[in-house]
Amino acid sequence: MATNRIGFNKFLKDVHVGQKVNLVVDSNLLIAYFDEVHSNHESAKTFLDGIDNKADAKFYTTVTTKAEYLDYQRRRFLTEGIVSLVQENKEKFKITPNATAKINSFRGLRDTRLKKEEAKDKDLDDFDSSLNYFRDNELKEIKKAFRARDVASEKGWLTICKTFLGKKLSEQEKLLDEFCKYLTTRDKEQKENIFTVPEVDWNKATAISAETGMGYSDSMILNMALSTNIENIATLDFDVIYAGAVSAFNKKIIIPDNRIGSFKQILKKLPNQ
Amino acid sequence: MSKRRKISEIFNDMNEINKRKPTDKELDELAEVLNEIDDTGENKVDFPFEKIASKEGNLHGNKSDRIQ
Repeated sequence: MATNRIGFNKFLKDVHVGQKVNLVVDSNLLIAYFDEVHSNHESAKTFLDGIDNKADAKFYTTVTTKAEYLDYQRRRFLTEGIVSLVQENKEKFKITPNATAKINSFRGLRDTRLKKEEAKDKDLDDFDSSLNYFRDNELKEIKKAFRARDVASEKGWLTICKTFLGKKLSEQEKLLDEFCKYLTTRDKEQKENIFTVPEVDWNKATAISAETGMGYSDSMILNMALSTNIENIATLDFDVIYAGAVSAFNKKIIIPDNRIGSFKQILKKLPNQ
Repeated sequence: MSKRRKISEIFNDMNEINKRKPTDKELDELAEVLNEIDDTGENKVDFPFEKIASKEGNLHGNKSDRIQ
């Protein structure tokens, strides 16, 4: 049986000028499109801009994906801001030795993770750009170092957030809301024209997760896509590609061209391949 | 429903936010807070969560027994 995977370039080539194209996009693709330092940025940007310029394209995703995107940005802005306190702006700030030590300690851990990723000698396109940023547990530890003795005088960490996150996240949320539509049966137009079921059955997301072991947020987007007539799912995520081969064979899974071969090797023994 | 802009235009706006740095004024205000905390010793490593958890009002003045 033929594969349901197709490369970005082939898909773009096959689309007609002005054709209506509905596309489900996952969080990794959104992050890669908007983050210039992401290893897949160029291919994601070429593909999505190409579709948008050539076709009458609508991009769909889920609110879970939106949360994943904004959380990535939160980690990014906080990491960049916190590191600036001990680097380019260090003359301006007299932060405590404890806070400085924590920040530098986590910078060291981050740099070690980045070096390990680089040392894997794998394709640059597989580089995990989220390694550039502090992990959530690290941010929580740094937060503790900036918190006050009494909540009434709590202002250190709050001012850090105001300075480095401020309006940026809410501005980005508005842009994301303009970029894509969030799949929901509560939208009358979507219910009439997109969804093939009256309500999304979330137990099926659990079943997909249980069947392939994929993360629950990915299984939610796949289940959502399966509840619609949208034929195309664009992703960079191996889990989505893998589960797409098992559980969503009636959908086209659109992936970077240079990954077609490697996924073919890994997935060739699946029942549908 | 209004038609959205080209996504490349949305990308440009998103990228501007990604690259946006705090203004000198914002950094000065942050320095004022952080440096004051350092001078007064307000900042403490072992944050007393139990004390906050038992406070009647949270940051917004609402009653809560949750850690803020």
